[in-house]
Parts: sequence; C-alpha cells; structure tokens
Amino acid sequence: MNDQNIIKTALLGSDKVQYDPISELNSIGNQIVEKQVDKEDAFLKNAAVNFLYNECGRIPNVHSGIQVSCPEEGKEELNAYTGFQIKSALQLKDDVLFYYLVYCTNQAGKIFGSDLVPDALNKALSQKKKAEAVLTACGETGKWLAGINKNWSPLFAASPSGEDWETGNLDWRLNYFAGLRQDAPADALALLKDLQQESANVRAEFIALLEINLSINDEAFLVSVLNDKSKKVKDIAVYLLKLVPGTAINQLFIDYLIKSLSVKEERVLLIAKKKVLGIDANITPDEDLFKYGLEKISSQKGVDDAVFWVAQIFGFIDVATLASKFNLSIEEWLKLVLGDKNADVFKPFLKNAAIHFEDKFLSKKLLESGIKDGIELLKYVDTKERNTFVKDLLETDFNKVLDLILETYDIIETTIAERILKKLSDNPYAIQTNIYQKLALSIPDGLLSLLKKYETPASDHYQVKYFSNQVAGMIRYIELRQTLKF
Amino acid sequence: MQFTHDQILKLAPDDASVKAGKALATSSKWIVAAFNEKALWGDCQGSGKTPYKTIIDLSNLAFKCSCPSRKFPCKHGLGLLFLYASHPSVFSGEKDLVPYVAEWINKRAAKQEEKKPNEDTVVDEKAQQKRVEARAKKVDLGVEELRLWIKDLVRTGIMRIPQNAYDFNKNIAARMVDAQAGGLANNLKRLSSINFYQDGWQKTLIKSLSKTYLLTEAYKNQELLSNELKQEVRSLIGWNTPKEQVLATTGVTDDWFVLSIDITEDNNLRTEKIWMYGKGTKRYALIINFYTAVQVNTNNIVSGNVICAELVFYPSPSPLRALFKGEVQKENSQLLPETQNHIADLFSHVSGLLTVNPFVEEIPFLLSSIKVVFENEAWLLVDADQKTILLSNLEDECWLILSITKGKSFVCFGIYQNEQFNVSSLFINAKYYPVK
Repeated sequence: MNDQNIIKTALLGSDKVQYDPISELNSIGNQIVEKQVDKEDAFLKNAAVNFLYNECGRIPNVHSGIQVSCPEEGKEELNAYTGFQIKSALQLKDDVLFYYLVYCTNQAGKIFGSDLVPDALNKALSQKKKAEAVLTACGETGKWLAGINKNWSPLFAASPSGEDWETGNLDWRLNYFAGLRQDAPADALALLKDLQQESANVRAEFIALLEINLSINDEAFLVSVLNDKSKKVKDIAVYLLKLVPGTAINQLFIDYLIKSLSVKEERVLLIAKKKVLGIDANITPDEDLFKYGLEKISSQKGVDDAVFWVAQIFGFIDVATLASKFNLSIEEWLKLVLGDKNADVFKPFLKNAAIHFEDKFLSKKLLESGIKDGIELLKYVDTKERNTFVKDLLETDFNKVLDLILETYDIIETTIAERILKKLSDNPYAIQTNIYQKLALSIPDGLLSLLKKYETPASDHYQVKYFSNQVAGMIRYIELRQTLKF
Repeated sequence: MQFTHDQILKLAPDDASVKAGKALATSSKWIVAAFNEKALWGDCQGSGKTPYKTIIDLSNLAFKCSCPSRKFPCKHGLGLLFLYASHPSVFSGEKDLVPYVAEWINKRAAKQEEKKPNEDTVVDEKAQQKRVEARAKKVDLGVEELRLWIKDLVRTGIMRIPQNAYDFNKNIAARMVDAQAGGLANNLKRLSSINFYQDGWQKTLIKSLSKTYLLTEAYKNQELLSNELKQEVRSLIGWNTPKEQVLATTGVTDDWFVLSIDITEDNNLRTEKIWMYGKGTKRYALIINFYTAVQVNTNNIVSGNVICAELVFYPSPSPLRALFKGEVQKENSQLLPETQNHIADLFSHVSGLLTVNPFVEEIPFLLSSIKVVFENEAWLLVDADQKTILLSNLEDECWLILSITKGKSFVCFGIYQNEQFNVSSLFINAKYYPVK
C-alpha cells in the first residue's frame, strides 16, 4: 500500500475502497489484519506504519536549477543600533522616524542591513510616492530580491517607455509625458500630434504640461491649438504663448508696455533727481491683447485701467527682458516698479512671474518689500536669506512656513526654533502630532533645556498639558537622534 | 538587574503598548522614580489628578499598576522599565521600600513560599490513588471515543472535510479536554492548521489521524512498551510527568547555545519554546514555558547567546524536553555552533529517531552549507551536495531568510516536521539572525 493508495482509501472511505499493504510491509501488514478489530482499525494501523516506513527510508531530491546570488554591495551597512531603530520604527508604524532614518542613511551613503530589506520593500510598496529614497537605502539586495519577487518587481521597473503610449491609461501617459518633457521637450511635443482625437479635458491636461521646459520651439504648436474647439484648451495655449519670450503674442504685450511705460526723472528736494515710472493712460492696448486674455476693466477699486493693464502684463513677462527694453539693470528696474505708487497693484502679478520664472532675485525683492502671501516665494530664496523672511512670515502664515521649513531635515536656526516653540506653546493645537515629531527632528540640540521647561506643565489647563505631552514626545525624538551614528 | 530594549520589547503585550510605553520613558512623566535591589517603582502623572502607582518586582519579574488598563504589563510598567534602561540616573536609590511597594513585594514573596511543597504535609496516598484511577478511567473512555471518531471518518471518507474545515474536529477536541487527555486534544486542534486549500492536505490529514490512532493503540497496550516509550506515550496522551520527578534525575551540564525562542499564543496562553544545543554534549534540548495573560517571561534568556546550565530531561526514548536545574549563567557571547550536517544527515537522523520513537513530531537540527532557493513558487533548502528539502516557513520568513543570506551558503537551525524543515534561526558572516 503506497501513499496514493492510502489517500485514495481515506478520501473515498474504507467502505468503498479496498486497500492492500505493499510487498515490503506484507509481514507486518498481515499481522495487523490478523488482529484487526475491524477494517478501519487495520487500515489506520497500516497507514501509520506505511508513513513511518516511507519517512524512515526517505532519500532527498536532487536540485538541478541555479539561483544567482545577490551582487556585492558597494556601500557599507548601517550599524546594528541604527538598524534596530529602523526595525522598531517599521514595527511601530512610526513613519516620521522611519523616513528620517531613510534620509540619514542615504545622506551617509550607507544601506540598510539585509534583514531590514523585505520590510522596507513592503513599506515602499505601500507608500509608492516615498519609495525612491527607501529603495536607495535597500541597495543591491533590494534590487536582487525584486528580481525574484513579482510583488516587488514593479518598484524597480525601468522608467516607462514610449512603447506603451498608445495603450497606457491617462495617469500613466500624463506621468510619462511630464517626464519626457523634462528630458526631451521636442520628443514630448511630437507625441501630441494626434491630440485632437482626445477629449477636451485630456487635451487641456496635456497642453498644460507644456509649461515644463516651455520655449519658443513650442510656439508653432501652441498657435495651432488656438483654433481648438474648446475654450479651455485655447485659454491654456494663450497663457503659455504669453509666457514664452519671443512669441508673437508675448511680443504684442511687450510692445504695449514699451509704448505705455516710460522712465522719467523727478526732482527730489530741489537738488537730487530720482527715476520714476510713468504710465501713459492715453495709450490703449490693441483689441488683440484683450482677445488674448487681458482684462479690459480694472477689477480693483480705485485702480486706473491703464495701471491694471500694465500690472497684468507684469505677471507673465520676465523682469530681465523688460529691464533690458528700458536700458536698465534688473535691480534698477525693480527699484522703479516696487518703488512706484502703484507697487501694491503690481506685486501680486510680479509674484506670479517670480514663481513661473523661478526668479530668485525678484522673489527676494518682493519678500523684502513685505508682499502679502509671499510664502510661496520662500522656495526660490537661498536658504541663508530665507531665515530673515521666515521670522516675519511665522507670525502671519505659521502652518505654511512650518510646512516649508520641514520639507527638509535641516536643523532650524535657534531663534526661529524658539519662536516656533513659543507660538506652539500659545496654540498647541495648531499642528498635529506627526508634525510635532517631524519638528523635533529639526530642532537644534541646544534647545533641549528649553523643551524640558515646556515639558513640565505650568498648569492643569488642558492645552498646557497637551503641549507638555507633545514636548515629551519631541524630547524622546531629539534624544534618540543624538544617539544615532551613521 | 539591567534590561536591554530588546528584552523589554519581549515583555510587551503588543506594539501599541511599546509605542505608548516609549512615550512615557521620559523623566517629566514620573513624579517619583525610585529603585531598590528588590523593586522599581514610580508615580506616573496621567490625565487624572492622582498619579498612577507602578511597581516592578525585580527579584521575580512582575508588574503592578493602579491604572485601569487590562493589558499586562501596561504602558506605565513598560515606560518605567524603558526609562530605567535608558536613563537609570533618573531613579533615586532607596535603601528601604516605601510601604505600598513593600506590602506588594512581601505579599508576593509570601505566596512564593506557600507554593513551595510543605515537607511536613502527609500525602493521602489512598485518595491520590483514587484520583489517578478516576482520571485513568476518564482518559480510557476518551481514547475509545476518539478511536471511534477516527474510524468513522475513514469509513465514510475524508473528502468532505474541507467543506467543514473549521468545525469537524471541534467537538471531539473539546471531548478530549473533558476526558483530561490534553495531549490528544492538542493533536486534534492542530488539524485545524492544515491548509485545506492547498494540494497535499489529504496526506497531512490522514498521516496525522493514523499516527494519533497508533498512539491510542500504544496507550492501550502500554504495558508492552519499554518504560521510556511508555512515559513518552502517556505524556503525548496528556499525563504530566511531575517536575519534581524530573528534577530528581541526574542533569547534563554544558554550555548551551540558545538557538531559537519561539513564542505562540492560544486563548490567552503563551507558550515559549527555547531550543538549545549543547556545545560539548552536541545534543538538543527544549525548554517549554507557559505564561497566562498576566504573567511575564521571567528567564531573560536571549536567543543567539550562550548559557551555562544544568539541564534535566523528561523521560523519553529521544529525550528533548528539559528543565533547568539550579542556576543559569548567562555568558552573553555569540558563538557559531560547530556543525557539518547536510540534508542527507538530517534524513538519516530522522530515520534513527523514528526507529526508537515513532511518535516524535518535532525534530531539531542544525544544517550547514545550506542555501535557500525559490523555484516554481516553492521554497527549498539546498545543500552543498544539491540535496533538497521543502521549507515550511511562512512566506514572509522565507523572503527574510533569502534577503539575509543573499543566495549564499549559511548555517541554520530549524525543526523537521511532516517531511519539511522550518528554519528558526540562521548564522551567516559570523552573525546570528532569528527568523521567528
């Protein structure tokens, strides 16, 4: 009776299927049958003996395949203590600490110990947007494992190729197009030749992506889009054409500015002279400009239409181009514009230009001039110079400034950190626990004593106690950070 | 007594408690934090007015806290221990225990004393004999009932069992508990862990049923067995060998590698299996500890380390289960156990053991020059002679083993069971890695 016969009898029932002991076990099998209480008794004993007999005489199978081992790591593994902290952060789902440790690992040019890699790959799979840094920290082991595990393989899949352009879904195509536009703008543009087959919304989404690496080479295509049936698509094309220096539409707007604006000299205190900006209200823009989106009537109370026209155009013309048209340096030009009596009307539009052209100088000047809602400009200002503006903006845009500061893990300047803590002690519910934790990782060590003061609640008020709890958590993070060595 | 973070993590009931405990491991949370050679205690300021009073008995590790948490140990106990591990300077050294701490510690000590057998107590042998006979009767009835149940199953066929996989063994397992045949009840409960959706369940099920049947046959004819096999059979049925009886035997003193510590939980009962290997004696040993929900692991043995201890083994034709006799000395060294065993050696070891003890279930073994291979959706261990054995670890554990070893050769410790091998720990590049 071999295994298959036993299984057959067991499956169908000893009532239906007869069994026979195998020849090697005939002797013991016969003894069992002789002494059987019933046939089930004999079957079960024979089955047990058969299984034991087979197991005792088992010969291992021989492997014939080959599995390639993991390539050697070029980077050093983290020390055991840091590895333990990463493991603990993964187990406790402490994302703030985990991603900080990933960042530090990559900064130090090291990799995770191989025992952490499977969990880290699973984490990358669950949070694909943050996967890249995690995969770097997984080193060659991560890549090698992904080559074997079909669940992890998409994490390391080569960047999408154009072969799937026809078949990919919209999200995939938009991502692919944005990536290609970054690397090869002309190739990306070529993909839009059959754009008319798409719906208006899809056309609008693709054309909007042309803002990446926008240049004069896109003019012909964008001009052709001006005949599109959809107003939404046309508006985007006009917006982009206005932004590109050298296009016919852009030139129309610059021509109007050259005609309308003048740089005059005004006498100050009888002796000194000062350059000022003049706007000729008698020069009216061509109807074409209104067709291209210039608002005809000022929407701001008390602001002349002429001033409003100029301000709107400032929003999409590069300051360097304008300065050169008036034979002025950029600094001189901005001094005129920001020193003008209508500067407050110009500023929001200049902010748009600073963001589009990622203009560091214009951003800095606008921030210096005390522009309202200037938070977005902080991104384009050098880190060192940023702190000056941060202190002021903390008072008005606390959460946004904090988000911006915490985009990196850089240690915050002590005075700014003190101010942040003070603000939080007054209004502890302004941010959530995970932001407190992230903040802790950027707080300078020197403020530990200040934090310890905050940790002891000064009263039983619920807000004070809440803040004290958050600070206790922050201290734990800072103390942990101090013990880490990469 | 100093604790490592790893040891404290082992004490925690769940991850949430670890997280909460770590958050409390800061001095500002503790109005009082003190230590004495017998205990650690502290007052933790919670959200209410009155702080929670937390005590840790260091001499016989135990926790007490005035908080209402049902977790054990609670976050305050863990927090106090984490704080002690990371910042011992925060604790004030006290010569004497404060009254409420002393009261609890003394109470515990008194209970421990009570537990010790009183030599003066006269054992009523007649009554004891009567109890044993009554139990034997119950067990015999249970065994007969089980045999009938197994026979009924094979008479009608096991084909339909997967349709009722969760229930088919419930009543009979409960019946075995009533019959005081705990070992048989556990055998039957284990049938539920068979994956009835995977091909091969048929063999696993009928093998288990037929071996259980053979065990009951052996029990019925125990007078024909050797004393050691008889003890083994009785123990597998559910008869306990008293600890005192085992401790009275001669022990084996050696340096023992702690190869693996596996903890499983079932109905609030935690079972801790400590697998060890004697450096000099080259034999395996298994310490089994049981903890209820309110008990904590007291031995502080860390897997991967070496301990020097005397072990006494439960009687068996293949002695494995053991008890510590006397003091356990921790050497805190991590050495690689010497082994040259290949898969063919494992198979011959299994044959040898089954020959003397056909009821052996779990066979510990160290394998060297092993690689883990994932092929055709199956996990295999392959040795230097290209011989293979199926791996029975969970999918996540298999990926972990592959990741640690990177497809290279390693030494591993594991348990052979049901013709497969389950890796518990491995050694590579002179480092120890637990897999469980």
